[in-house]
Amino acid sequence: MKKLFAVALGILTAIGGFVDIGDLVTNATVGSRFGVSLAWVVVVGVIGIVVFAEMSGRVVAVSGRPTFDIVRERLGPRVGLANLFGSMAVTLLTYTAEIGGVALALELATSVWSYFWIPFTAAAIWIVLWRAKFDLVENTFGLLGLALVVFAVALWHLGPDWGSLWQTASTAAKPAAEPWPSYWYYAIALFGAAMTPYEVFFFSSGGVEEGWSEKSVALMRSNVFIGFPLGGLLSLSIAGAAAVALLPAGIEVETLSQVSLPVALALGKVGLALAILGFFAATFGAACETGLSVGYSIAQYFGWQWGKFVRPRDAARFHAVLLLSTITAAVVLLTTIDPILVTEFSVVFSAVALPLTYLPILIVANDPAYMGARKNRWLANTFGSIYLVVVLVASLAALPLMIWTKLGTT
Amino acid sequence: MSDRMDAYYELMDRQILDHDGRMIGKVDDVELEQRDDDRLYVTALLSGPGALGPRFGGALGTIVTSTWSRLSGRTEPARVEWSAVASVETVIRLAVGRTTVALDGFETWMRDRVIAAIPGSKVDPQ
Amino acid sequence: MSTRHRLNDLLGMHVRFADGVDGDLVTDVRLAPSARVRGQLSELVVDGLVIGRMRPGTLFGYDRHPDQGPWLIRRVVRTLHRHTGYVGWDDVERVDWDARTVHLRTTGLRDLTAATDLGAG
Repeated sequence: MKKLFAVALGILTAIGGFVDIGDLVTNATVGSRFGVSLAWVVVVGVIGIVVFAEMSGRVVAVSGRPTFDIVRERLGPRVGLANLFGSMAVTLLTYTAEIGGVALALELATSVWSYFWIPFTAAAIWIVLWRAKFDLVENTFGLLGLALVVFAVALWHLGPDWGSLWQTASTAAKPAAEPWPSYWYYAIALFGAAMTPYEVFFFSSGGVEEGWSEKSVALMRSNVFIGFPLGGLLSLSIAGAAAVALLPAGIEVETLSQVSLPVALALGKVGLALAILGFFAATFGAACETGLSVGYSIAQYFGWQWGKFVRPRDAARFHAVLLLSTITAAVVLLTTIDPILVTEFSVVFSAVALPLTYLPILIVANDPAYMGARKNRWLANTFGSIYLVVVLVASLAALPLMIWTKLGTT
Repeated sequence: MSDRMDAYYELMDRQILDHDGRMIGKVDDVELEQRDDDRLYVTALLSGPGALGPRFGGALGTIVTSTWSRLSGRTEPARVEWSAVASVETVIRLAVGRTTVALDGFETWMRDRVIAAIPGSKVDPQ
Repeated sequence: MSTRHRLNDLLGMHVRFADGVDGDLVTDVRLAPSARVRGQLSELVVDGLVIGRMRPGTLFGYDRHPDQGPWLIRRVVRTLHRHTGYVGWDDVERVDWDARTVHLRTTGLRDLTAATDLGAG
């Protein structure tokens, strides 16, 4: 019974915790402009994160080594350092976007100007990172994030023509009004939003925080194989709801308020309240994850003690990095930069940075010295190799497309 | 007894854990002693910016090493004697606790100057 | 009299064969247990050098474990590293630490096999 509870909790937390500000904004934007013609990218991205997360989860469960230890061990100190700069920059950018997302959610809830909320949000997140127990944070925000199921309910309630939705999605029928470069730019943005690098730093470091062993592999797999795809369905619901409610009306999503519009239209005030609760939980949870991930990556590169499983004074440099990152993110946001813009940059740069961490994990997952009998077999290697190519292509195409389409605005 | 190993592939850049499982640092370099038989013997593991700086090479390496040297007042990096090593796996486990090994000055400085000042730094997460 | 060096100083050194021909670089150093025990483990001694070019993937392990997957990466890395070889310490004449050159007694390299394989020299 206790085991069943653990399995259920793990899956539910994985679903509710899957979506972050990048998914919210990108899926809604894509839905409002391209309908469901990019749904296939979400499917590709979700399979990709499932493959990647399972490998890094298995590596940490069997060998105890989290991602950035492996990056330095397999790439050497110089390439590893370049990797660290790139990964930390993207993760810090994402952290900034998530904190901005929390502030936007609070603005939606209270009608108080979002920039007012930024110092309080940053302080609250830092206090959670300083004091709160790791699994309590994960479980609380993961479960509250399930409120985003309201998007699936709203989509159902809007009574769309399911046949034509399926038709558009399965043939990737791009709307005539949108140019092809923008289509591919958003394909990469969606891919970067689904396969965020920080997810893997966090997932594998979390394995050490929670004391995973080889026995944890089965539970980890149920979270990843069941929870992540269902979380992906939430992403698709957000895109679908925007496609049905906003695309015909020609409303393009540019604010978080517009992301929630389909829910408000379909389910009124109650739906909207749940959507806002979901936004808050998803972004606050993701902010904690990305904040910790900045600390995890630098500490794991240099060999510093890290983690919430020790007293803060025993991981002084780790906590100093967390504090400094939070202050930096808050300062950037207080320049009144649009958090949506920060989010758009963060998903594109996520796609650029992805190969840096993906390649070492794929290699170590095959290394018998780390993995013993649990090393990759043909299925994991087949998917792993296919996705290595996908990830490299996306990484190379991301910046040119971003510049060519001016962040998708042409 | 220990196995044969390739130093860069299996020893360098690995995490060092003390007797209690605490993370002390990485194997940033390895000290070799050339003895009368003209062979090179591994005598210690080296850790910290003093050892890592030279690994970068070039201008970056010089900057890292000289900055560390100025801030710490030392010229030699932290050493872990080979006799303190209990096992070499995907991590290097020591037979001793971290207080026996010279604790990295940066961590101590950060703990005493910054982190200790914030309430709750001693709270045990369990 | 003994002098202290760092392993990093050995890595990247040039290699010169007995006939004066210049070889590639030291990309790894093979250590073997010596007769003496220091603490819990035997003392390690430098037993040989892995020689090759400093290309990406030196640390991926494919040179030493020819079966390691996935196939795609293995093919790419092994092609990049096809010039990699090994030389035992008895074939080392002397190490010139200042000139960063290892002078060898031999004129060619041996094949590289995994460190734990017997008969690797």
